[in-house]
Amino acid sequence: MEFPVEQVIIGIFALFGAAVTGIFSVYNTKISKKVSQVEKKTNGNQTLTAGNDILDQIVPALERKDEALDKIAEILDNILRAQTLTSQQLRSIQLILENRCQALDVVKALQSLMESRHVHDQLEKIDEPAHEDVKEILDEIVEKLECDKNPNER
Amino acid sequence: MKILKALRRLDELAMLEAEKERRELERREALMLRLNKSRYNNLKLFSLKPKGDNVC
Repeated sequence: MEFPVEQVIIGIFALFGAAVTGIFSVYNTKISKKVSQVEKKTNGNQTLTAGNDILDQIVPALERKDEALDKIAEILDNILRAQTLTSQQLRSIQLILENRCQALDVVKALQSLMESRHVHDQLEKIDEPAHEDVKEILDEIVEKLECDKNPNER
Repeated sequence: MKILKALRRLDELAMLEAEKERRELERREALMLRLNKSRYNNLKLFSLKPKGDNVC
């Protein structure tokens, strides 16, 4: 039995073509998988960064509030110990209370932060559930701080 | 060659993102520490009960 040379060559080329297509397809799958992993990680990082940026603005304000409350507690403690209340102490409390009303500033800062284009852009980039979570947390914080502002509402 | 270049570029991107994630996680951890400290301070402060002889 005799093989026609032309058909053998065509067969070899066909095999070679199939092998190349197979290799390309494997690489293609590999690249698609990696692209999706990188996209996922990028989205996760954007969520983390947005959350961290928000925390970065809230935490210093809360720390200032803590300091003010600590000072008020210290003054009240002294008043309780000495059982005296001087005008100087009253003045100190008034000043510290004014300082404590930075809660108002925090609310304003948060509201402007929520309305800022940067945050909107960042929130738009992240997944819908994460977006809703961040928004919900922000609303909760603003609500709590507004209660802080008007303690009678509690 | 193009495929290999694309794979290499993707690896670089993945590494950059991993590095960014590590930095952001560290930043988050530091911020959460400060936040928890503030929360603990407030709890400590508001659990003060000025009862006793010295009440005005």
